[in-house]
Amino acid sequence: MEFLSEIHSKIYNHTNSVWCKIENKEFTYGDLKSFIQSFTPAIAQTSGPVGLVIRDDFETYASIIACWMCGRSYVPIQPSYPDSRINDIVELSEIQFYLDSQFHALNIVGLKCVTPSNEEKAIVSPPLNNHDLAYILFTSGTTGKPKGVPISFGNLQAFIEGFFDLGYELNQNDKFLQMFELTFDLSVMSFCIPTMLGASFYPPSKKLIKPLALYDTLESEEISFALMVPSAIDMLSPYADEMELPYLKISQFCGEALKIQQIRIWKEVCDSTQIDNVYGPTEATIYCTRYTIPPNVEDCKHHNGIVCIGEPMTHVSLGLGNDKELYLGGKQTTMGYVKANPSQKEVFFEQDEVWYYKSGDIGLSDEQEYYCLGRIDEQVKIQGYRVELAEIEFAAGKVFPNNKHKCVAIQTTSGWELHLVSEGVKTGAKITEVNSHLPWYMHIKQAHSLTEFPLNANGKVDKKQIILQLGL
Amino acid sequence: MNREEITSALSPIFHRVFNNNEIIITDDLNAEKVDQWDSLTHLNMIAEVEKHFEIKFKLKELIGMKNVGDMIDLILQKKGV
Repeated sequence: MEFLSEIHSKIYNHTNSVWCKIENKEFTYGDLKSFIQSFTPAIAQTSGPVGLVIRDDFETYASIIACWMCGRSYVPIQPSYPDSRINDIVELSEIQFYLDSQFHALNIVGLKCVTPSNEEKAIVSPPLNNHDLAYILFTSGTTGKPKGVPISFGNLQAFIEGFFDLGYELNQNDKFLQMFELTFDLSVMSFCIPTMLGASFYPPSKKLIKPLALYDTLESEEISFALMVPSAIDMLSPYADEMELPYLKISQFCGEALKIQQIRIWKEVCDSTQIDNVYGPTEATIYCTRYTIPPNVEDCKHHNGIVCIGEPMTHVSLGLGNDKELYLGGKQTTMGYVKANPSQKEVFFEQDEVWYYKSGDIGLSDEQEYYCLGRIDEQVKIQGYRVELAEIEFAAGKVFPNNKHKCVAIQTTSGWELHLVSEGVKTGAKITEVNSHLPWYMHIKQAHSLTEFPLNANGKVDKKQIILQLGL
Repeated sequence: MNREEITSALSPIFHRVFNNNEIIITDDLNAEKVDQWDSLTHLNMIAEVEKHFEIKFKLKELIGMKNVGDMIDLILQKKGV
């Protein structure tokens, strides 16, 4: 696998260069090399995907590269998730072994923690084929169980080739921002591309409030390439006139709709930066289209203020279904969900020897470029995380099985808010109990009650009416 | 205006913003000690404090602020005390 050979050569030839800086401590490619060499013998003894407990430290990042150097995939496990969700992830991805820099025992029967060996072993990048897996990430699913998206080394190699075809002038002196949780695939670009270049990456400090840590890193580390979510601009906008980022060459935005208003603010902050809107779900590997904002923001292509997502990357084919659904095909598209049920299989299809994923996003094309107008189904994005409202309703039903529950998402100036509405009860459900079954970004803000749910003409619960009746 | 006066003025602001009347304002109070204290409520709290004391924090000052004690120091400084 070409990109792994590239990483292998950087590990051996850039030993004194900084690989990353975490909580003010620098780690070199030499540190990465010793870490991998001490873990390779132990990882080679395991089988199946390797669970990785996310600690956001050097060891967590180094473990990912160590897994890849052994030809193995990693499955990030967020220790703050509820036990039931961790269990689902372990079961669905058939993890038997895991890595944890704190060597904490996970509360799961039969799972073994991998420990380093005393002797270091030289790293040999393994022979791999395109279908071998590089990582499995879990996203919100409608049946109450998370959905596992397996991404192969072939998918990732296709993304990387597409990335380098975007024509950025990058080298070993570039400094990359890495602002994403490792359960989120935008993190993969943010540490993988710098590693291929022999460059370095910088996660914002966890000890500072998010927007402040983000700006502090961008400014004090002189970041030159930053992939961010558009809501980062909203968080920083009150301080726009105090910010100056002369070193930031490239700003990429992904994970949510980018609005023209946000670009205007960002242009004020860093006039000289190139702003690219990139788009794509986890199923199509990190991102798969790109649109570069023209120097004059007023020339920017948009639809109702939502910026164009541009053209497909090198190995990507785009299509539009009859109902205007965006289809994402080509080498970056995953083969399908792990242990997929029949309805999960229906979102993939093959046409003219190209493998497509039905994104669930509504698209539009002006013959040259594409636009993403929003979701077809009941899914919202909260701080870049995909949330299926049905999964929250499922969790509420588990805790309070005697009632029917509906989850509604309300758009506020600070993003989406989730509200749980229960039928036939005097007061709303106890949200702390429901929230304890859900990851933080799916937490319900408020609970409400209605004697009866309003129905639409088709006899389905009418969520728009619920919102109106509750005055949300 | 002294530290005590600032502390007692901060108390109702914190109770309201973090929706928690049990918060006791101390110099070493920070986000780790209050469940409801996240990025969003932090910025709301800062906005409320700025409004109440009729001051404006600089971005650099916010980055350097490690706890409520640091914030009180800055308020005193900005009020010219």
